[in-house]
Amino acid sequence: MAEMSTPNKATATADQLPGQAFRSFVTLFLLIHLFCVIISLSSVNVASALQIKLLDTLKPYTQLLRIDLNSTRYHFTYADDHEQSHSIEIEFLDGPRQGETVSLPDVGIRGSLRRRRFQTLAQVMAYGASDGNDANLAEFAKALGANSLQDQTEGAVLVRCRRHRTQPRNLQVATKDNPRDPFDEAYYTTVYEARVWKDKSGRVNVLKMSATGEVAPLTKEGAKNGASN
Amino acid sequence: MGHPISDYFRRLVEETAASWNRFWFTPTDAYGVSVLRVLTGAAALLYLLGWTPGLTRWFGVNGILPVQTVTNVLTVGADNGAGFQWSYLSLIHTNGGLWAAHVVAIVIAVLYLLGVYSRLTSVLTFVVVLGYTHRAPMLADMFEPILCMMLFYMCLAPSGAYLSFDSRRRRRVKPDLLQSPNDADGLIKSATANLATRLMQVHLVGFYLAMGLSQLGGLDWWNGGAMWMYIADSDSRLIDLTSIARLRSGIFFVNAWTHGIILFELTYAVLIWKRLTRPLLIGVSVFMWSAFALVSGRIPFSLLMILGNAAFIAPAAYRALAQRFASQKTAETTKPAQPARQPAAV
Repeated sequence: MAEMSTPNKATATADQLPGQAFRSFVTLFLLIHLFCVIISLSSVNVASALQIKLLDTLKPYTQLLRIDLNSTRYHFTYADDHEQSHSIEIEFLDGPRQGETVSLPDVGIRGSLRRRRFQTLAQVMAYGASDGNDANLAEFAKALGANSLQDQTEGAVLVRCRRHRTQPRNLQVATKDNPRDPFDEAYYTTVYEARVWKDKSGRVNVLKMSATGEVAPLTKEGAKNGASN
Repeated sequence: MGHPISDYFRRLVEETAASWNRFWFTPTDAYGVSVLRVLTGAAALLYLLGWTPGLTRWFGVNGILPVQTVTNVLTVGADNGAGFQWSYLSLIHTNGGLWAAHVVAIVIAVLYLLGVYSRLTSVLTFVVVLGYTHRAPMLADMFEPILCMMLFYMCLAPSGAYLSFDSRRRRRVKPDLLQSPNDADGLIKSATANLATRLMQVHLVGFYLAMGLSQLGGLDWWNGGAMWMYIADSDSRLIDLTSIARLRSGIFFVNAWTHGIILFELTYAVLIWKRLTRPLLIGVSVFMWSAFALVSGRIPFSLLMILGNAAFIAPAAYRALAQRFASQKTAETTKPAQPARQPAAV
């Protein structure tokens, strides 16, 4: 069992091998392809200026075939804040669903790709918040808000990205900051919040309320009243 | 002095070239890639089916990630870069069109799984899966790049040689030949089957190295606390092991698991090439990824990593397994019928 097709030196004679032209062509492909693979895999987390330049040059090939890992976290975790579990919350500020809060992922069983996609999106938003990438965050918030308001001609929602901090290892001593219940509110922080509203013309607008390390400039009531306008 | 050096370099070039040819181009039994087709086909099908419940919610007309949002994010986002993440799904702007494309995608994956026109459906399945991953690259996790890698290499292989409708059709056309064998052993041997398997093996080992080495760059992997991040992640875990934190030696368990993962990943990358250690590593891999799936909730990714081991199993081993299964089945069907129960003598 589990014996691999390691070519036997005695049996791999020249007449068994494919023609010279085929081998030359494939060898050239292999050298280029494996070079792209090595550059992509070796720069998954940290990349030198040379690697970044090479990645950019090889982009037409590596991105097209998804060889480019695009900052996928193959290190699993470095226990950074933005690598904690995150979720997205949509709070309806008016309309028929006023006061309702939807937490995403709201579907899919644990461990499913369906559920994971929402968690990944929330994590991307958290990463953007810690990175100060307001433009991307606004795009996501706007799209999430527009999706939530699709049945309403106008209305407003609050889009929140919430971090769910993991419990510390020292669980013997439950404190106010680290209670025994892993779903206690003490473990949650809002890393990004934006007000998204749809006006009478159907246009969707977005206004950042707060992000990691920032103090919210507006109260919820202010947002509800459309203080940004 | 000149002679030994030139001799050395001549020998170096000759032996490297011979080893290279042997490694990449020795024709191998296509049964192995046929098994890989079934496995990767099942993975691709599950991936596509996984999009079904939320298809229009994500990609629909008023979806969470409309084409414009993805384009804007990829264009503005400094990390992602833009331009070559092409997806045919971005060309579809109606929910009906999206559903039609999704059904076609699933049909293609089913045909590939069953081995119907494998040469064509393998390429189409790869294009389809790429279409979904490129449609929303920000949603991709560790699963997608590995699936795409496997499907890409399967495009190069004669994956429909066995266990497929293609092979049945071939037998109907040429009933005198069992499977159109091209080898004295009666096997279909192919250099591209070996090439595809080798590429999958090398790339998979690359993933293991990338995981292990990048983990070595994190403090939590050195202080042994990284696995606690998963154990304590109450949103994703499938089993709750936080009670071990209350044990006196619980911390050692977490430390051992953390160090064990890195040790396994780096060991796998080196020793999977050794015939003697390969079965052991495959066994440990199944255990390790199963445990990781339970504690992290990353089931699809863990299953794919277990599935990756299939690239390291020899076609002969698959054949032996299939023959054993077939002979068991035959024995069951040819088992003599139980004698009819005689009526009890009065």
